[in-house]
Amino acid sequence: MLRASAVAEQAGTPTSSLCCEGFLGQAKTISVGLGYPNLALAKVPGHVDVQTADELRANVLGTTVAQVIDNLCGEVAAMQIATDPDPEEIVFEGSFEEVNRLFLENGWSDGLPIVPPTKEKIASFLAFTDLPHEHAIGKLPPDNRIATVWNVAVNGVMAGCRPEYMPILVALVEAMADPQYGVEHSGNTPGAETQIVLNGPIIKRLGFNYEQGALRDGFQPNTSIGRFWRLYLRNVAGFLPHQNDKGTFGNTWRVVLAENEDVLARIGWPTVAADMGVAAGENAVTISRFTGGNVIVSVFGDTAEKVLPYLGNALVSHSAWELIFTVGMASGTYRPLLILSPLIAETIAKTMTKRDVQQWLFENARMPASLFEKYLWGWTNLVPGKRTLNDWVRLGKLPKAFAGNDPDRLVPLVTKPEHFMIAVAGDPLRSNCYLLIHNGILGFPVSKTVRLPPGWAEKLRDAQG
Amino acid sequence: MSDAGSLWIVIPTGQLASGAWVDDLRGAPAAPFPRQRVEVVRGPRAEERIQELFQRRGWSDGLPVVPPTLARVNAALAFAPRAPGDVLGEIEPLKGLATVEKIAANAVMAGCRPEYLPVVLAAVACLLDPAFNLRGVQTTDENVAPLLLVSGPVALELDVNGSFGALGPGWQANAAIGRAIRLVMHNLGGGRPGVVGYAGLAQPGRYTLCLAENAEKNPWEPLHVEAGLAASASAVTLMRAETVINVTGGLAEIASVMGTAASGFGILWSGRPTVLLAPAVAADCARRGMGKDAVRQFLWRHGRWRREEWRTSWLATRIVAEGGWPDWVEEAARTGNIPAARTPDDIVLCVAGGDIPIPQNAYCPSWGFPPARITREVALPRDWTALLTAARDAADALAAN
Repeated sequence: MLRASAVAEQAGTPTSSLCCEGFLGQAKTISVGLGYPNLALAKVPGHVDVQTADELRANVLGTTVAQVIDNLCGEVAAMQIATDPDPEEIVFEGSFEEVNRLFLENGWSDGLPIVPPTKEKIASFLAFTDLPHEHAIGKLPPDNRIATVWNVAVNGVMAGCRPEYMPILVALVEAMADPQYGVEHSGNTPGAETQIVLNGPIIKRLGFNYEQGALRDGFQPNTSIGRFWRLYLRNVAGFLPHQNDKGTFGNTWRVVLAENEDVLARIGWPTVAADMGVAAGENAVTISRFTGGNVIVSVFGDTAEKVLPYLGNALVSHSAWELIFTVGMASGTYRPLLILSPLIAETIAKTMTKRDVQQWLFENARMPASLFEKYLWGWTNLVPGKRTLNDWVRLGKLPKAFAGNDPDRLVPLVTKPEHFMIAVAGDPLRSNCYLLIHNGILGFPVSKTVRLPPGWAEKLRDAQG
Repeated sequence: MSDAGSLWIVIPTGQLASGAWVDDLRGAPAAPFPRQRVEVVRGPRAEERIQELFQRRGWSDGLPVVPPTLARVNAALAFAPRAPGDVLGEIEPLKGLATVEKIAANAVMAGCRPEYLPVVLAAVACLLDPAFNLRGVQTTDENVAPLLLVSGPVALELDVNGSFGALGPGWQANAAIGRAIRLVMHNLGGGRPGVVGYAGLAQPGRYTLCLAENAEKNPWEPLHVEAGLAASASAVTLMRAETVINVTGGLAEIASVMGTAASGFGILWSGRPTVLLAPAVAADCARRGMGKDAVRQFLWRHGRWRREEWRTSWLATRIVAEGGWPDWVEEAARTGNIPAARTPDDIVLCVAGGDIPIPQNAYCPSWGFPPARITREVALPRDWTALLTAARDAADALAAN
């Protein structure tokens, strides 16, 4: 909403943005990031979702309308934006405990102790990139700070990463800054969390866990890089709870998921990175935001046909309001991720390729059209217009598979079979799977290759002792 | 570097919604300080360093402050019925955000006990009422100051003085709560003299101007009941006071002081002047069957600026253009002298001070627009009584040591 206002202001048209009371603070900080720190806001008292028509009318007439008039006709206040200290300035000298206390008190930490980002430690990270430390990777809303190689290293140190993770950290921030991903949505109320998927020989080279406990903490590269992601969102992009991270609940950052590429090679399936267009054998990160997940336990069956219904059922029973990303809010952007344990992947692969699996899910993981439409506009106000799926088909926004007038007909969850993402990892000796439900354009999948610095092998040997 | 004598300070100066610091908007660069929430001031002599640093940064009213350490600010926040990050509003004119935590830091600096915070928060809520016109109060060339009246049980519980010497030194609550409001205006609103504030002389009431209604000696309904609150509630009532003029005597003497050029600006802006009525005068009125309305009627009828003086006054001849006076003033001038307020109800009446036979009243003329008499209930934390007892016990223990 504020982005639209900023564009209008840029075009010279005065705006007044309507804003529910609980979001005024976020709106003010976000408008700073948009480069229009004084975007005029009109308050709607409370939250519209739980107000009767009469209450809403009274609130709008009593408060909002006068502010809209004032915003459009009144004087615009001059504003000045804060400046950060010089990135290379030493902001504090003190003991480990004192550094940690100061970082916590000033909102620079996630609640756990950080490794103090000393110049020496930062230098050891910078040694693992040939990019100049002032190199600008991109500009990150809402604070609009410039992502630099330097501040990547600083947050990497803080998160407990090792210097040799630096090439991965740089690739992650390149992905974060990619407009396709949409980092600006990271503070929205569903509070989804990013899952990083790692591919390439670097998985083994740096000792990532990709077997039992693949999504569990306890493995330095998986854990510390996952933590880095959240620290970077906080310290550089500027997403802080109670400020402009408005996740109603949110959840903890996710550890990096590394794929079991041995199994993938054995069954001849492409990696997630390969599905995203990265050349085979390249190291790459893939990021995407997921609202939540669930484990699919005790999948029984010695054939693909017996196993696949478990996956289809999980997808149908967990996809709900997120279907506004299949059609409605941002059509064709719903990308749920299935993580298959090696046993299940191997069972399916006896007769099917990954493409076959995606096609099977497209045809069989289906829900009644009436329920789908309820998610779109019956139970939320997220998709206005109350268009039926059939209307969307006629508008060319959905494929034919959604067409029809029978409310009980079964329709797919995604618009293309390949929108189901499939990874392989986890305990090689247990028949469980995992499902992550996707947040659409509010964190769309983006892959970046990991560029290793010249002399990587020698540097790594030195770093690993 | 590290030592046990370090102090962890909550930075008390204002930050805007945009992230900008009030200090960076005041023109002349202040002494450097870290643009962050919390700062560590290293010892030895950290307390003394803080006094020196805060003076140089312009974060004081000129007197030494109590360093707003995290421990002290957190102790005050325990008394807040709201979360530390909650924003009460923007303090005009430089629009520093009045978060509960920033208010608490300034209250600590002012010398408030932790348990004063609910009153300070209610007072800041009054400041933020658009009718108070804080922007005007902060920037005008007049000498106006906020006049804070505390009424209800909390005045007694916090020992806010409404009796002997209520406007003078010697009472912690009166001194510190009023000062807290000033520091909020100063540090969050940026109201530094000569930079943002251009009062010709200002007045000592700008250090603090806070007292309680004398509930024991008040023969009438309390201020907050007049404002529509329950008698059992506690409240703060805020007015704009140009100054405090002592009046020894009774209603006639008060009226004679009201009917002078002292009321000029109040008349020009249809303001709400305050009369602090001595207990002896109030008792005398009550004995004669006068209620508050009758007292106000009397003061309104008799406290009139003589028409000739008004017409030839500096205000009328040098400042106010033809037709610039409110209609009610012109109307009054057609038939006689000018009342000190638009209506009797615009006169704020509060019984205060010690009960002495030679009664000491005060007249506080108003300044500016719009007419303002703002009352806010003091919201107390759920476990107020227990917290208050614990705070008193802790203070006793400290003294006994």
